[in-house]
Amino acid sequence: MILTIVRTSMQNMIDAIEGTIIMTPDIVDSIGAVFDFRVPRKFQFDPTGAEISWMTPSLAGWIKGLLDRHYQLNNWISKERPPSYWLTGFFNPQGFLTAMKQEVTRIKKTWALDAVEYTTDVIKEVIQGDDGRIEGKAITPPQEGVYIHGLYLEGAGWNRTERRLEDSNPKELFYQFPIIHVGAVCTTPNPNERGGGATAMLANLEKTAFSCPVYKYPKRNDKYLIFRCYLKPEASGAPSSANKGLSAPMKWRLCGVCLLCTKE
Amino acid sequence: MATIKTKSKEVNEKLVEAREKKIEINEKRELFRPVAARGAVLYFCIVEMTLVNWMYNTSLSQFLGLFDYAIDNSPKAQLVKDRVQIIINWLTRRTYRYINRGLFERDKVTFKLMVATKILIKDGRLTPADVGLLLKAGGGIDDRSKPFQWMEQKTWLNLKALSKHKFANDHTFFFKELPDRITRNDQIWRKWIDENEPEKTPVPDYEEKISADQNIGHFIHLCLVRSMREDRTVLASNMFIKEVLGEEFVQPVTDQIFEIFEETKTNVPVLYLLSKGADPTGAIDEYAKKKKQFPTGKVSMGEEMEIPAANLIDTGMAAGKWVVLNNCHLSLEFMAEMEAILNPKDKEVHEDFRLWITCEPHTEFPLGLLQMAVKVTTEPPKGLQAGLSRTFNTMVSQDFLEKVEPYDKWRSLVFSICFMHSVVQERRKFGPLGFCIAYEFNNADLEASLTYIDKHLTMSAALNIPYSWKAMQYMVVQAQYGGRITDDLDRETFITYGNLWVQETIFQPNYCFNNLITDFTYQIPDTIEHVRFLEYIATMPGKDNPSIFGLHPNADLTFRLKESLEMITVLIETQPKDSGGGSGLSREETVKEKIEKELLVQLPPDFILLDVNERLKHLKGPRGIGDPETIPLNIFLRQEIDRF
Repeated sequence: MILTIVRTSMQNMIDAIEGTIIMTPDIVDSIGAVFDFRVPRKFQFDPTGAEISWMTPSLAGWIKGLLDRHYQLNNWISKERPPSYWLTGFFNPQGFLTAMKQEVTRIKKTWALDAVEYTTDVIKEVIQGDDGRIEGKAITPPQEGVYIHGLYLEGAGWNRTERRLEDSNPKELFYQFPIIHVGAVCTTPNPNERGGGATAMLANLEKTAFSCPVYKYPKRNDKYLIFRCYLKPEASGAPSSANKGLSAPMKWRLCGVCLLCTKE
Repeated sequence: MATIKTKSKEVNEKLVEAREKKIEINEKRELFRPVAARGAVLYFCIVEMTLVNWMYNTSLSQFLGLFDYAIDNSPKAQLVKDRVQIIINWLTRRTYRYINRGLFERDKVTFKLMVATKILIKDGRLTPADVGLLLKAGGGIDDRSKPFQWMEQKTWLNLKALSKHKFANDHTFFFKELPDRITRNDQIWRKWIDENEPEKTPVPDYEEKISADQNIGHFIHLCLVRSMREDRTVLASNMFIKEVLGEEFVQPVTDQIFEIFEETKTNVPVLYLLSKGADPTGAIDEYAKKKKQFPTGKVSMGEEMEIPAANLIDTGMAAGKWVVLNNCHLSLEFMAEMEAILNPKDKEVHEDFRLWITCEPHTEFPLGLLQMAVKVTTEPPKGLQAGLSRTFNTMVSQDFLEKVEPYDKWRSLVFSICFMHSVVQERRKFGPLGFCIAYEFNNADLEASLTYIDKHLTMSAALNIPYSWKAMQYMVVQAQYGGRITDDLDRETFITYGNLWVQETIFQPNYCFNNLITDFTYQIPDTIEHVRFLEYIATMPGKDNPSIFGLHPNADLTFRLKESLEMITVLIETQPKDSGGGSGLSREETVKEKIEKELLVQLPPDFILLDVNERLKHLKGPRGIGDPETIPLNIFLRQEIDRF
């Protein structure tokens, strides 16, 4: 779809410039955009105004995004599942995570999908670079759930050794975030489990961890919210009442910490 | 015969003289051409600003008024050359002040940068392509060969673009060796890029070369800073503007109301462009008192207020009184008639009559009125200190502080909630890092919150029960302010402030609002006097450290980056659409070549549906999941490919 739209639109611009088709206001706009290195509106929105691609502001960045996205999908379909997925590269990242949840649920047989929640675990490895490509990196896919990468942390830094949030370094606005293992748990009480099982675990995380929203773009809104991921807010055993009623998760909330699929 | 001869000689001489005069006049006239050229530059900048905001519309005749003023009032000079320069300076300064007054804060640097670059283009010192480089930088390049791990990809693309650019009439690439230099001098460059104020720090390797270029060194420097430290673009632009236009163009200016008044006439009204939290009526009243025009005839526009307003104008015109029409965006049809109302054909207008209009920007505001009025923007001063000071000057009085018992607790709560009010308003400037949505919190939210606190304290005292902090937090954060909040994350942020600042510990002596270290300790002043509160507020820093919002100091960088990007976007949008790419090709030829040679060839082949279907049949999932065609992630992949 998007490839066809872009190809046709580019051909139309050429034809209109050469005079073989009529120059329409739409084409004039597109030409203006290409000249200014901006993305023609046609590449990003359908006639109803719905987003049909990614919101990269510069044309070169947008085309690069197209190549990188194509690369991931093409590799997946032609070879096998990648050991880690570049979340940025999906049209519908929520759909991706839901599909993962469905898979885990289906294998578990006894789980009911609407009682299943995500679990997240930040691992140590970082996939460097902003193109999402993982070739040449030895990653063993998880037993259950998926690895995702390509995220940036805004508003805080990340301590890779202790796998927890820490203050940003001066002038570093974004941190390339390590791979996250996203899995699923069933919150239906299991009589064989002790200590309240998954529900208690999630409740405890809600209290002690930082619930970090993951957005598609730096512009944060409901539409671009993908899911939330629990991050460790401070070193284990850190004095919790350090700052007059300001717990570590509260601190990160005021710092505006979140994870983003792209920096622009 | 002799007489005829003499006459003929005389005539000939006269003719020669006339010819010489003509040449002289032409020469003189040519000498004044730069004045016209500057006028044209300024006028086109004014016209382009209307693309930014409809309310910026200014007519040619208004501009010609400025032009005449500059010619009539500027000092004379012996040499024409000097005279020309004086007029140009006067005209530029006068136009700047006139237009600047009617621009919102965010557009002021934009306008000056536009003027400065256009002047240099007119002088032949810059080309449109140079300005294109400044604005677009590396936006047109894809290059994955970045050799420095520490450098942002975007910065790398910008510097690549910089290294491939020929400035103005230069035949060489000024920054050709830049990538090379950085490779060789990695540490020094990194240090420069990490400077707090790189725009004021000598540039490694290039400092001499840049300052040696007397012509456009300042512009080249701006391009470099913009490319390497985008967040410093606005600040570097100010340095550039200072070099091109002069010191006074970067000094903060405030236009006093009497200066504005001087430009009004009976048919030239003042048009205040409103923004949230600003209200010029107080200032108008003050000035009206001075001018013996108080009280003014005041109408707040809205439904069915047109007739009272028209009547008031009528009497004002006859008696020479002032009329103030507020919120005129609510009566646009009436505004459309204003041009005719102010220029009546059938009656005399008293020379003291004046009309003052306040109005929020509106794209359907009548052009005629915009083009005859003196436009003035009003924006509330920024920062916590200004915000708190405004609240304590308007809403909170000595009586208010003594309204509820126990007074000390009431005062602490009032101050704390006012403080929070200012914090959440200022936090918006950080964009998404601050709040996902820029809410228009206003005094009504604050007032309602304090009213609730008043009731809660009174009731608790009457029933002799302890305060319910939960209830107060809920009512302030969720019910009052929360009524505006639509995003969950923003709600959580606000709740965090509520938990911090609407709770018992604020009653402790020396309670301090800042949880992180800042230069200033924000406290609740320990006093019962309103004036002491004001004094304390006045000691707060004018520039807020992000820490007081709970943000990391880096947030200032985020803020500046946002500011710079907004300015660049506005400038790109207002660029004239007729210029070529600088390579001698027309705009369309440039685009055609780019699409054919760069873009189309890069596109990957389409996915072939049959092929995809076939492959999906063999794409395995985890063990025990079943038939590949029903595997959820395979179905997901299929959907993604369909959209590609």
